[in-house]
Amino acid sequence: MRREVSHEIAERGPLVRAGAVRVPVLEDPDRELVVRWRSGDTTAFETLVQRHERRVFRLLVRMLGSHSEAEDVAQETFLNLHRHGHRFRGEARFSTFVYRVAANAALNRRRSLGRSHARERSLAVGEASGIAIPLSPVDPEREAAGAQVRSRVQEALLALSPALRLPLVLYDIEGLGYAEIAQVLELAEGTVKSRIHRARQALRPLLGALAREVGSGRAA
Amino acid sequence: MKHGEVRVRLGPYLEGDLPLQQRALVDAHLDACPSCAEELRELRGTIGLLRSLPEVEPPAGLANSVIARIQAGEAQPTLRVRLLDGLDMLLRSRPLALSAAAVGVIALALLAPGWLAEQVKAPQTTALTTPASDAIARRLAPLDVWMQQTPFVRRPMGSSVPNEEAATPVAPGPEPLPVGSELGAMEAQLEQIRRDPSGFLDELSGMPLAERDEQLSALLDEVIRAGRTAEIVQILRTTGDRRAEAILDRLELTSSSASPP
Repeated sequence: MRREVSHEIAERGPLVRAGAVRVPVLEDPDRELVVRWRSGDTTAFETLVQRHERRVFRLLVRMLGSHSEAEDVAQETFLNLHRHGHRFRGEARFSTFVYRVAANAALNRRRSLGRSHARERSLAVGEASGIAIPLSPVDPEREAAGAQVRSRVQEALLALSPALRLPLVLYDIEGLGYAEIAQVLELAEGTVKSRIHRARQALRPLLGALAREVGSGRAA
Repeated sequence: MKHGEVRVRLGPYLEGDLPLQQRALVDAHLDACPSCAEELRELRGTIGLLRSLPEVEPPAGLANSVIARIQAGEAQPTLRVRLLDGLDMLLRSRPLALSAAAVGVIALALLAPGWLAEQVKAPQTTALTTPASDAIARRLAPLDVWMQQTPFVRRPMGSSVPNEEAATPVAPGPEPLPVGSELGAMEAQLEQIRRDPSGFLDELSGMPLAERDEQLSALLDEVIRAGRTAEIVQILRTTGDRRAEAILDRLELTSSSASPP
C-alpha cells in the first residue's frame, strides 16, 4: 500500500517547493465534494465522512487502543472538520487535512484523559487488537494465538510516546509517504524519518522476539 | 564500519535510502557481525508485525451520527475561533488594518483580560490556523497552558516548515546516537534543570511548538537511556509547576517503551 502511494506521488504532477518539504501537487479526488460542502451542501459532507471514516477510525484505534474511544474521537474529528473546514485552502490533499485533524483530536483526547486512562488501557488493548472483531472461521487454537500476538503489538504501540507513535502508525499502518506525513505533522521530512526509526527501535525489544516466534511458528 | 555507525544507518538501510557505497559497507559489516544482523532481523520482524495488524471496521452509522450532531448545532465555531478568524480576515484583506486590529486586541486584553484569557484557554480543537491568528493566539496564550497546546496545529498547510534537524549533515539519515559531547550536553541540561527548573520550563515555553516537542523528546530519550529518569522526575516534582506535570506524563509514557542499553 505504501509503495503504491509513493509511486503515485512520484508519477503525478509537478513538484513545488514549500519550505523544507517538496510537496507534489496532486489532483484531489475530493475537490468537487469539498466545493459543494463549502457552498452549504450537507450531503456532500456526509459523502466525505463516508469516504474518510475508515482511515480516520483505523488511525484512532491504533493511536488510542480502544474501539469505543476511537468512535468518540472519530465523531469529534468530523465535527472539527466541519467547524474548521473553511481553513482548508487546498494547498494539500483533503485526505491529508483529514489526517491532521484526526491526529490533533487523538492528541487532545490523550491529554484530557490524563493518567486515569492508563488503568483502562489493558482492557482496551484486547479490544483494539482485533479480538472483538468477528473473523473468518479458522482453527480456534491458532486464532487465539493470533489474537494474542495482535494484542501484544497494540500494547507495545501504546507504550510509545505519541510523538513517535503517530509517524509510525501513519507510515507502517496507514501507508502514507514521508512527504505526506511531514505535512500532516508539520515536521521536516528528515524528522519524520528519524522518528519512525526511533519508534521501531523502541519497539524492537518488545516485539523482536515475538516476531521470531511468529516466524518460526509459520515456518513449522 | 563500526557497530554504532551501522546501527544509525539501519533505518535508511531498511528503506533503501542509503547510497550504494554505504549500503555495501553496511552489508559487509552485517555479514561479519551476528549482533547487528540480529538487530536488523528483529527490526524487520517488528515492521512485519505492525503491518500485519488486521483492518478495523468503522462503526455502522458513524456518518449519520456526525450529520445529526451537525444539524443539532454542535459544529458551530466557538467564540474563540470566530474572534481569531475575524481578526485574521481583517489582517489578510487590508494590511493597513493591521495596526487598527492590533490596537483593538490590546484594548480588549487590557479591558477584559479574564474574558480574553478564557477564550484562548478554550479546548484546542483548531485543526488549522493561519499565520495571523497564530501570532495573536501565541501572544495571548498564557504560558501555563502551553503544554496543552498540540504541537501540530500551528502552521497552515503547505507553508514553510522549518527543518528541525538542519544541523544534522545527512538530512534523511537517522538522528545521531548520544555519544561523547551529546552526553555532556545532556549533563549540562540536567544541571540547568536542577539549578533552575522554572527557568528551564520558561525556556521551553518560549520555543516554537515543533521545536519544543523535538527538544523535549530528545532530552527525555537520553535521560532514559542514561538511566537518570528518577533524578529528573524528582527535580520536576518539587517544582509544583503544571508544565512539569506534562513532562512527567510524557516521561512515564516514554520510559515504559524504552529499554536500557
